[in-house]
Amino acid sequence: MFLKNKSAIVVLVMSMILLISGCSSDASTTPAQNAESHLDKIIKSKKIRVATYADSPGWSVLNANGEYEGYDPDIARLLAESLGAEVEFVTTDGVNRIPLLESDKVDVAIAVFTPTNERAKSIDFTIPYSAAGLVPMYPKNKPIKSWDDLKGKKVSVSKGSTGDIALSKYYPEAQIVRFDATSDAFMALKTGKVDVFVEEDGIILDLLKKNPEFESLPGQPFKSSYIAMGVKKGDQEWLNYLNQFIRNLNYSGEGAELYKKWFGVDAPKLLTY
Amino acid sequence: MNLVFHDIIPYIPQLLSGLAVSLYVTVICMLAGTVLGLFVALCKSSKNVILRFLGNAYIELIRNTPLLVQLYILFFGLGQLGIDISPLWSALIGITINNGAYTAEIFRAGLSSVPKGLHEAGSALGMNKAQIFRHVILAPAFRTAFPALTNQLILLFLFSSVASIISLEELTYQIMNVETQTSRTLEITLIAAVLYYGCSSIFVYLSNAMAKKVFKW
Repeated sequence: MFLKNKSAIVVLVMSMILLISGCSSDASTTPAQNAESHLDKIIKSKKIRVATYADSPGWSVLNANGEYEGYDPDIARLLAESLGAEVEFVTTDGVNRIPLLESDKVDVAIAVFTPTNERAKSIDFTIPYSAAGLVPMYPKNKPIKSWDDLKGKKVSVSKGSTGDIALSKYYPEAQIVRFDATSDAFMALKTGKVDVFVEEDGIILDLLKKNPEFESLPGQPFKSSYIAMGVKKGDQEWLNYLNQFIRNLNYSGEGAELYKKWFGVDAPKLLTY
Repeated sequence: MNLVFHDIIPYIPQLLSGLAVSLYVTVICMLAGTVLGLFVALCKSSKNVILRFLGNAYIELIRNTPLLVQLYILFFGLGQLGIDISPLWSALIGITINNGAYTAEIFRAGLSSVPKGLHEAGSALGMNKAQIFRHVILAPAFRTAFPALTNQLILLFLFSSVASIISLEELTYQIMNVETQTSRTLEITLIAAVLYYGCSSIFVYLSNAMAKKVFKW
């Protein structure tokens, strides 16, 4: 009996040593040197693996037929078409987008991805293909007047989303309740678990259409930011191709048309390069 | 391989508070679930048809549905009906009910392992029904069931991570939270594994020590 516990303690100590020795190793990440570019791989295999949401209304949802539909999947399909490949969608959420890319389980994440400086240290981002800002959603019979009203209120967000990041930073007095899935964060509002639900404006616009008992603050969304595609760090060739694709998508007006189709309003102005 | 841990250090208090919630839920649910399980096991082996039916129905219903679904029903499902239960209470209630079904089966096996001759020996010594149950039946049944209960305790500790889905701020919830803030997937999951492993080992150690002390005969 005692021996058995001893071996358990040895394993524990060994794993501790492993952890501590890891602490002293340096912080640089070295990209794989002579690895084949994703671009060549996709053209060769005629298959592109795209991470996208299954529960972001407007942007991307898995419909009743088991197909992905929305703005992001449409762009993914255009991208696949340009490469002569078939799309293979992989469902993602705010938590596992970066791990999916880093472990090379997907070629690109087209998933309402805001290229924050923090995230850009772990993965590479393309130039933006869209933009979004945060808006709050709350019941009509228990309204808030402004963002400052969030103080002391229970606010649901999707874990790791821009809503989570912004609230943690600018409204730490709000009681933030984090869910793994966007759909659960909305369900928490719907079932009265929280007072407010904060997400990207496109998602909320779509949810408001289907749920008239809720409303949102008028005016400009909070902390507008770009939306870009994410790829694994270190594959410049693949990044170049995606940037090229997005430039064409933006300039041709195709992207704006898709935006209008899914969100019913004009695409946000993307700027100036 | 380069593992980077230094940017996780500021989040250690967050991880420890998550661990505390996990341990709290585990201990409460194990104690409550054990009492509930013993009660249900007695129902199931009683002579009363209704009690037996209820015990059976409870065990079958809980064992044949996933914990995740049970927690969803408690948290979101009842919420829709206007019954508001906090994430902590949903987890405590849901995991206790879930655990009760499994410990009930463990106790049933323990109870049925006690030979009939012991009943008779008890009454031969002039014990009444309650005394027989307490001293002659329960003690050896508990000893037989004990290793399986330890096993259940560890499963319960690991399964409590499911409650992160209903936003209970336990260890897995905090782990995922730190992961999204630092993007150190491998490092943070390694820490999670070590914490879960360490605590489970301590559970096993304590349980063995307790078995040695309590079951001396």
